[in-house]
Amino acid sequence: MFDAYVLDCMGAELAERLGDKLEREISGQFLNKGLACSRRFSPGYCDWRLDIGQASVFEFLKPESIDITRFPTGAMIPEKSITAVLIAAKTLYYKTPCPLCGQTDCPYRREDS
Amino acid sequence: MPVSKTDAVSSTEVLNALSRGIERARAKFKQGIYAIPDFLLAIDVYREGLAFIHSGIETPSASGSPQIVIGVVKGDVHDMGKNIVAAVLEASGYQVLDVGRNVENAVFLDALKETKAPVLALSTMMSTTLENMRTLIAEARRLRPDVSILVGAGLVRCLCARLHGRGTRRTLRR
Repeated sequence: MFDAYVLDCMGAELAERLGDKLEREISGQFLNKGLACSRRFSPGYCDWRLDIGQASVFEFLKPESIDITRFPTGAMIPEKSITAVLIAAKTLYYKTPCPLCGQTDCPYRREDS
Repeated sequence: MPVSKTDAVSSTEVLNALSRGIERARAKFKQGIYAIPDFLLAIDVYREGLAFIHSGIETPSASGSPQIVIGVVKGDVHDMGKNIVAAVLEASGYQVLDVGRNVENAVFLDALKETKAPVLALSTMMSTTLENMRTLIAEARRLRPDVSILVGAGLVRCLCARLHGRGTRRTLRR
């Protein structure tokens, strides 16, 4: 159990760090093209329903082609898979919806706008 | 240092020592002295010790039907929390039937019917599975009006009262 617990925690941490790394790289690519880029936003964040959002992302990206399976609830296998979207535009007033959200005690609130 | 079964310590003494050890670990976890990883290490040692002695000595928990049916509900594959709870329950002397993850309602209900376990423990980490969990709880109560139901996961602390209007319990992860 100890090994499984540590590996599970490590897997979650590594997946998040990889997501952050990709976010920085993609943002940089857009910046080089003169476009502002939002923070990554995943199905299940805030009021984006996990099941509906995941279905939309899968319809667009077709991750089944790399053996990622989606459940109707929005869960995925492999378990540490992450889906996310970023918005690139000439002008972005906010990089996340957090500044517009009234839930100031949200533990996931991101203040960079 | 390897210990053989022929050393001058009986299997019963070893089992008693293991039981005292896991009980101390459980107490320290409850007091907040041990964190989850510490307690899991203790459980691993306890299980290794039990497997080693494996002498057919029956503990009160090893006999009889499962007392708790536990699993992750359909549509969810996050099972680390469930695995931890199952391990802690077993280390605490309960007979546990773990039916796995992404479990169909019928599997839970069949397990309840066959084992007559007094407790059904349901786990989920997601909000999109809660509606089905509500259905499963209703079905379980129709099948076994006397069954006690435990519900646990990250989100459910705030949502439990909404599910069935009752109080919540502290989850294992603090």
